[in-house]
Amino acid sequence: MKMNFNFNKISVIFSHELKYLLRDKTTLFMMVLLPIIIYPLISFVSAYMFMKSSDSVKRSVTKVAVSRDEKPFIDALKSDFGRAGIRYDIRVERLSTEEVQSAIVKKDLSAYIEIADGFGEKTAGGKSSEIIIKYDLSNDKSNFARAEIFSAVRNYREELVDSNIEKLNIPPALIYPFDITGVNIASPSRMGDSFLARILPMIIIMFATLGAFYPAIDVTAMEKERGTLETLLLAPLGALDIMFGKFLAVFCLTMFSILINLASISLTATHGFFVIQKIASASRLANMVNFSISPSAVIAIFVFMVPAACIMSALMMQIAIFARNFKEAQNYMTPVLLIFMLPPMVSLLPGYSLNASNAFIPIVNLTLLMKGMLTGNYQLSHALIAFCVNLALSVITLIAAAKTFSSEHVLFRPSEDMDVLFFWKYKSLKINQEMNLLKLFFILQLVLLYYAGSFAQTFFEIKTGLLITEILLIFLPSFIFVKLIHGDFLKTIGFRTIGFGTLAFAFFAALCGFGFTTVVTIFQSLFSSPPDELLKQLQKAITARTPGAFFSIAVITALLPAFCEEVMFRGMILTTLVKRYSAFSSALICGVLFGVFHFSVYRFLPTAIIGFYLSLLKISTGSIIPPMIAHFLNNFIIVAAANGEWYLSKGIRPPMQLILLAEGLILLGFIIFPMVVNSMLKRSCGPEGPR
Amino acid sequence: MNENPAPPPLSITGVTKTYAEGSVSEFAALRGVSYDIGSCGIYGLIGPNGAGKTTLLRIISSVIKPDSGDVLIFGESIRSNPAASKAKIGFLSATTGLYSRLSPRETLVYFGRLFGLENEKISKRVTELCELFEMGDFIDKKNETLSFGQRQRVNIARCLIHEPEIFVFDEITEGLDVMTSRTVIKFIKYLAEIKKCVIFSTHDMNLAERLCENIIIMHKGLIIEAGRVDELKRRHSMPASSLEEMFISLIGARDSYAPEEERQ
Repeated sequence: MKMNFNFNKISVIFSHELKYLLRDKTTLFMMVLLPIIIYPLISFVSAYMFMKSSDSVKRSVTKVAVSRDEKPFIDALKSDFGRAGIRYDIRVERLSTEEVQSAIVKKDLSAYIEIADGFGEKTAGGKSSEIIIKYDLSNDKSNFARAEIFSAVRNYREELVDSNIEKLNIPPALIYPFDITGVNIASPSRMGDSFLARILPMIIIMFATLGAFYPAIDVTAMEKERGTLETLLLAPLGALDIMFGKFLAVFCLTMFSILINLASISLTATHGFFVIQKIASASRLANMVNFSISPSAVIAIFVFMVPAACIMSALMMQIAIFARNFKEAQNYMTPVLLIFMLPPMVSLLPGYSLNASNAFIPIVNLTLLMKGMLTGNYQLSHALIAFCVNLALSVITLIAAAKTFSSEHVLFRPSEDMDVLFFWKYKSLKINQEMNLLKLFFILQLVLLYYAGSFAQTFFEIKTGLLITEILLIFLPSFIFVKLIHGDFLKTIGFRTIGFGTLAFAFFAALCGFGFTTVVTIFQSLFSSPPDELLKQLQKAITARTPGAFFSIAVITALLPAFCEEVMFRGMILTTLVKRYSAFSSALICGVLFGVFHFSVYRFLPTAIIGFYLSLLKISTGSIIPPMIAHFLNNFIIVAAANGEWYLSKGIRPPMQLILLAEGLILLGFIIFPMVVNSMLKRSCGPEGPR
Repeated sequence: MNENPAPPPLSITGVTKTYAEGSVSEFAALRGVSYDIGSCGIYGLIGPNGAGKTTLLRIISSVIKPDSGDVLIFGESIRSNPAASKAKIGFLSATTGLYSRLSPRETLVYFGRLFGLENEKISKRVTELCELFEMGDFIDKKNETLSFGQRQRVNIARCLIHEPEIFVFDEITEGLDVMTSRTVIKFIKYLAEIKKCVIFSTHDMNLAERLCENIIIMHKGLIIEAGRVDELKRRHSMPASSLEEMFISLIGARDSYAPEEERQ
């Protein structure tokens, strides 16, 4: 891709697009009017609702039933309620739990107080008694009554204690050895982890997304729909000039949209809102609506939103340029909107804040960072990580968008082109399409494996987790892919019987491969030691204490992967690769993918080597059974060796000769392995040959 | 000046183009097209649907790039010097549209800037074109409020803004009412009078016969015949018949022995 820009032309396109976009009423409404209205409205409505609901709870009568007529207690309750300004109705009535339930639903009752028999005499006589408070937490009124009753009951108990102290003439410090004083030190300039601090970041991201949405479609898909794209391409300027001019316009509008939103928020916070604050401060909700944002936080948020706006603009333009008209663009963009709008909702979770790991998740990290900035609760290092991650992603999306814009095929897309997504309708696919689908499938499987796999292995017992991973996440998707694309499963993956000679060769190759990877692993451990966690995990997974357990472990960690993983890599992936690349390249790519798939830097090299020779084994023998056998043997030896180590730790030592023999064999395998690879390469280049 | 003779207006050599290569919809639109236009005049490009007319015209105008081969516009290659070749081409197709939220004047100014014209030059050209196409009444209204005929005039003015030498029109009379169509035809004749080169594709054989001195016939990605209308008729010993009849017999003869090549 040539990267020469004509800045003059870029600025012509930029100013044209900006002018043109600002003439659109939808864009203007979304960008200017809506943010100006929405923040005062949201604050007003939410504050109003809170006040209203708390007032209504307070104003309405709190109905309490008490099981026994304990005069002193009821009097204390009444005086407590009176002091808190609560209207109450206390009656004496014995009720069962079911009756309490239905009464609360019917609003005949807010809470029920059950007083144990002989409460008065016992408490007066210095004996222990009991009060049970029954309430319904799902009912606002009952919940409110519960809090008030609890505090009244505690007060009453304290009164009794105080009178006892007096009666017995004990120094009060003996009963209350210390006082508890809480002091709220939250500075008023922070919003606290309030409702608004949680919801605002999400809304800003949402508006930024909407700010980019219409302009991105207007400068891309709409050019096609209007029939102006052609005239633009006629002019003496490159696709990149066009793309960057348009990108800058969309980017500016997105930033402008963010600016207006921030301005509206801070103005609402500092000026337009004091009336509600005054009302609110009279109630307990002062901290809910009491918010103000420092100008420095506004500026910081604006700066941190720059890469986000860049990502949004570039990604949306890249997708919208595929569409041939507005409607199509809207269809394609819906998933993108969800990508930008759903993850930011994490900021709604109370107590969920930016940390060293979620700082690496683009967009999400920005939402959390904004929340942190609003509450004054974040670390600069996390903020920098978040900024850099988003910056890197924005560069990637820009380059990707530039590439897409340079593609004639995208700019003049024929109608039937996207139909490849409905690939099952076709009898046979061209190799390009098959490759693209394979890439897509592999990435999806990788993501699925990373999240669902680690979930399965932590949620279930590790053996069950592995079983689920192998069958549901590795075998099943591969099976579906092969079935959909090629039809005949066994034939496609190359499930063919093999002769005795090939079987022996598979054994031999597996042993040499094991020797080679063992030596490589030892070499690697000289430079960096394996992480403890990995070793522990492996140890836990494959150590058996009984022969039965050893058998089941061998099945799960050797037999099952040998089948499932081979179906995925040597079946699904390699079958497509060899159509496009030479035997060597295919095996190399398949090996690297196999290494990546193990999600461990430390295990990458050994597993990639194994993946490489297993691929060659399949290509050279034309059957998937030899790599399955070799894979099984490889894993089985590891399991057996690990269990051997356990015996060693128990003091059971194998004869010295056996250890020497094993070490010799490993070394021999290491030396012979390149020759084995060479012979497999020679065999596989025969009939097929590199294309 | 050197001894080299002036380069021909248009020279096409071995141009091929395949769409959606490697996919189910793979389609070879051009399979090696070569043609030279030695002198200016009106050239008609005719051929059945899918013959590659639009593709060829788009390649000449540098809207899309050929897979192989080259096109020289007055000696400037569309590959090595696209800016120079684009400056000499004025292109208009039936699907060409206008920016609805711009006025005709803004449209012309925008494209003038894209072609790198000076501001003074642009305002001069706008005044000229406004007079030529009688756009005074609506030059500052929004394009979206204009009638179809008015829009067509704006479109034509747009492709004239940078004073090109060669005009490439892709089926621009298709779907027009009689009055608008007449405006367009008058315009094409006007261009020929002022010694510009016009190459246009059409399905209207009568129009082609009436308007063009030269005819290029395309079929399945190749130019199968080209030359002056009367010369072509003589060559195929059909002097008395119309262009339409000759076209049908030519295409029919080719299709009869190669029906399996037909695209699904």
